[in-house]
Amino acid sequence: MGKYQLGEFEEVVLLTVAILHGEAYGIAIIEEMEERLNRKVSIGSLQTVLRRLEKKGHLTSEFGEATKERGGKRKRYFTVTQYGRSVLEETKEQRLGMWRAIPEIVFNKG
Amino acid sequence: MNKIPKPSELLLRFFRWFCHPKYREDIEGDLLERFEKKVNTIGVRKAKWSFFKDVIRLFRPSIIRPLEGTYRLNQFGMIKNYLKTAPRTFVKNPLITIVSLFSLVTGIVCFQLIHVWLTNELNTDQFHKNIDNIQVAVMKSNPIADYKPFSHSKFFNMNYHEFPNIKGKLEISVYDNDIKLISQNSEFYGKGLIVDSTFFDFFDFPLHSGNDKDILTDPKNIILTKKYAAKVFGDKNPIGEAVKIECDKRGIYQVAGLLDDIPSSSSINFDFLIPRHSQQNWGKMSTDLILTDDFFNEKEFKAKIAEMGRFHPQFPESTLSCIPFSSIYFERHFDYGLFSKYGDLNNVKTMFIIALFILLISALSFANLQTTLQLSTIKNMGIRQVNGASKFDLIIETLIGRLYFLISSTIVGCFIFELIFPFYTGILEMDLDRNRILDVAGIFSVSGIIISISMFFALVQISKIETVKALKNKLSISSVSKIQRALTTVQYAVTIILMIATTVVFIQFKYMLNKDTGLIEDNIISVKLTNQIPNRLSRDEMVKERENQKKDYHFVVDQLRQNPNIVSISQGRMPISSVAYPMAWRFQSQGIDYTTENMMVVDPEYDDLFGIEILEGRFFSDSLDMSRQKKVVINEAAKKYWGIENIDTARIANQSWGDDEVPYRVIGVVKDYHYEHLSAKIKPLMLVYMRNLEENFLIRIQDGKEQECMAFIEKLFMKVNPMGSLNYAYFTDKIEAQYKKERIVSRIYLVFTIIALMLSLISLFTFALYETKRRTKEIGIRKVSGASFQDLFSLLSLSFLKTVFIAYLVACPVAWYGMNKWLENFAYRIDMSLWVFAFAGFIAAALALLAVSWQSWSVIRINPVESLRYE
Repeated sequence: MGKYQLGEFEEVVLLTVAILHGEAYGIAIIEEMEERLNRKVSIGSLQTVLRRLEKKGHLTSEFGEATKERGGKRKRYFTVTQYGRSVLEETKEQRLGMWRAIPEIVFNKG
Repeated sequence: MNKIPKPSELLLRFFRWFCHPKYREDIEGDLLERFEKKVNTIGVRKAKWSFFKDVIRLFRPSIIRPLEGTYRLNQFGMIKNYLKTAPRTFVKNPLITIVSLFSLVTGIVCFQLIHVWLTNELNTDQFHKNIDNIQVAVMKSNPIADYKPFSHSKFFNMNYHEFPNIKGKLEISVYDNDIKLISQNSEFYGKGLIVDSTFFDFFDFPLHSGNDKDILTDPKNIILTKKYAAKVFGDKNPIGEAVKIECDKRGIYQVAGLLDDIPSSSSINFDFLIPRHSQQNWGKMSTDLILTDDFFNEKEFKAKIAEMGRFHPQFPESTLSCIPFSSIYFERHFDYGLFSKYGDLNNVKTMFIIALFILLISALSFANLQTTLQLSTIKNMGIRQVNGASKFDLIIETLIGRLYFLISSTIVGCFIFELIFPFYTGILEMDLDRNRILDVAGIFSVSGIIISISMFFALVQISKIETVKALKNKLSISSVSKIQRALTTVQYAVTIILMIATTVVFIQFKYMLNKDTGLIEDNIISVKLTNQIPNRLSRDEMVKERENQKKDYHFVVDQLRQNPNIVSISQGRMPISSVAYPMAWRFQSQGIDYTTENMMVVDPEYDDLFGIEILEGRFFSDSLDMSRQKKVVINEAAKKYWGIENIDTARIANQSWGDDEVPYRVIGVVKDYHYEHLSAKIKPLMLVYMRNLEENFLIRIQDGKEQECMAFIEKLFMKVNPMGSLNYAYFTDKIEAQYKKERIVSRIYLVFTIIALMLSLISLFTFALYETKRRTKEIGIRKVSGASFQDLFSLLSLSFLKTVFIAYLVACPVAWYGMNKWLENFAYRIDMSLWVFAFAGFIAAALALLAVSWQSWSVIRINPVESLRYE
């Protein structure tokens, strides 16, 4: 496998969308990321990645209901697709495999 | 309550503009939400700053919307549809389409015709590269005289090269029909210029054959124009042929070059060029032309030379100056033989105004017709709008319809222009140089202008379309036809102005041309019968020539006198424009200063020949007077001008001839007659008796004996000039020629007024056509309710007459003012009587009624049963 290598930021975004499960729209994703990762995320960079992932088929999206907030604009909720999930999992497997392959001696403080 | 903080509207708008429409909504929502949250956490100012940063960071390729065209691919299909439907609309409304095309084509053809003439006029002499760097040397002999062309180099030894920025000098003498060119045994008169070899540095007349422009440096050479060479040599190749030249000089020359025909846009004209240095001291006065460079300072030069002629004993009061060559054509500072024609700035302006009028009328007419056409397709537009067409699409549709007109009018226009052009130059009685490509370009662009104007009105109309109303065919017609009514009114007003102007012009010219000149005009010819003696022959030769001339003269006079068909003979000039010679005169008894007055040389038979009436004293007579005596006959105007009471004691001094010491004695007063253009007041005139054997003969022939007499005169001429060819002119022809301009102007006015009237009527007609069609049902209802024919007729027609009436009210004061200004050009003018206005109003109203009533009549006649079922 390994057709598409996810970028670091892409991976993080994909994970965050998965975490938020059904509540993943622009601002929620940003806040979640900022909180968990302690890094600044701009709408611009996030949206670019979201659209790219959507185009590649990792994500789908649909509009929510209009509310009074946000100037009456609807939210766009993202969800991870089956394909997105498998890519994430593959990435995780790869990472774990690599972790496992590290000789114990390396991180041994003793 | 606190105001809710809002992000910058400008940024938001910027975002909406660049963002891909698919992402716009949710990202905008995100932006707003984030902003609101930031306001609560970090304060308004920082939130705004962060909002700014967010928006800017969103400005990246994946978010920015793609270029528009790429996703509107279907436009070509739409345009194809427009291209197809436009002709269908035309076919459905053939009358309006044809009439639109007609008014468009008429407008552009007329405009282009005038345009060609105007450019020709304004480009006069522009084909000479150096035209703006040529100055003509002029002098006035005393402060009151006019500037005349002069040769400073000859009289005052002026060396132009001493002055800065002067590159060259050209001395020209003009022999106009008093120079003969003899080839083998035939003689030809012509216009010859005696020029320096610098001629071609000044003027760019193209050489047809002959090698280089140094031809004129060889004193043996002569250059002919192609046309003149054809006259002299026929089909033979003239190059290398020997010709003899005879005027006050004689010499043999060899044809060394041919010039292409002189372009019609040249103000100077000639038949051949002779190198000046081929003979010494040409008899004709010469004139200097000066070639300057681009840095020449005219003012400075004039100041320097102004008084340089005063040392000369003959010209103690003279002022020297120069006049730009290019200004002479339109400003006509003087009449000078070098120039064969002068322009008339007034004419140019008049034509320009007419051209604008025609353009305006045809543009309005076209716009009007197209508006009508558009009204007929209003439902169509409504349907298009329902199907999603934007206003922009409707504009494109209209534009494509107009493009058809642009193309077809250009093609038809060029074709008609080509057909009409020869007639047009015939009417104008002038040659015009033309450039076909420029003509086509001109026709195309004028058509473009007219169509753009009509597009403007179409835009206004489209912007007013309301879909629902359009679909119901209930477009508020009153508001649309307001534009149309205004257009028609303006158009009609312009037409009425033109009509009044033409009427006034016609009456004025008729009045002027039928004005009695105070002279007998019929059957008088001017003919040259005696030969000119060359100057500077040897003494013996001179005596011999003189003898011969005298013998010839007496022979001719005797023969003429004996012929019973000849009523009267005299010698002198015909009294037409610019024949009288302005000189400085003054009435001695009152000590008035010298003023410039006209003088003409006559002989004792002059009054008899022209039937000039003597009011006081007597005319010259051979028994009492001698040639060149200090006696003068004046006209009434002169008598009145100086307030002469007793002619026996009156003495008039001529500054150049005798001055105060030997004044002229007034021997008689003649009744005023017109010796200048009839538009000018009769000015004071002195007649002086001088016998000049070389002068032209004036002969009055008995009515009906013209042919016999001409045969007789020709025979007589052949006896005196065995090799020559007879040249003569009728006085009536000369008068005709003098009023050529007036004739042409009145013709032009007439033609263009008729065209304007036609265009206006046509648009009124179609306007009425659609208006009555719209009201067909209404008429039916009215008829059923018992309206009479008269009621309906006046109802339909009067609304149009109202338009004409308003136009008339607008036009009258404008025309009155304009024509009053025009009439001020004439010394003897008609009063603009009210009936001119009444006439124009009547014609305008009558023709309008005619155009409209045909429509009204046909609608009223319809059986109400039919008309009620209409639609």
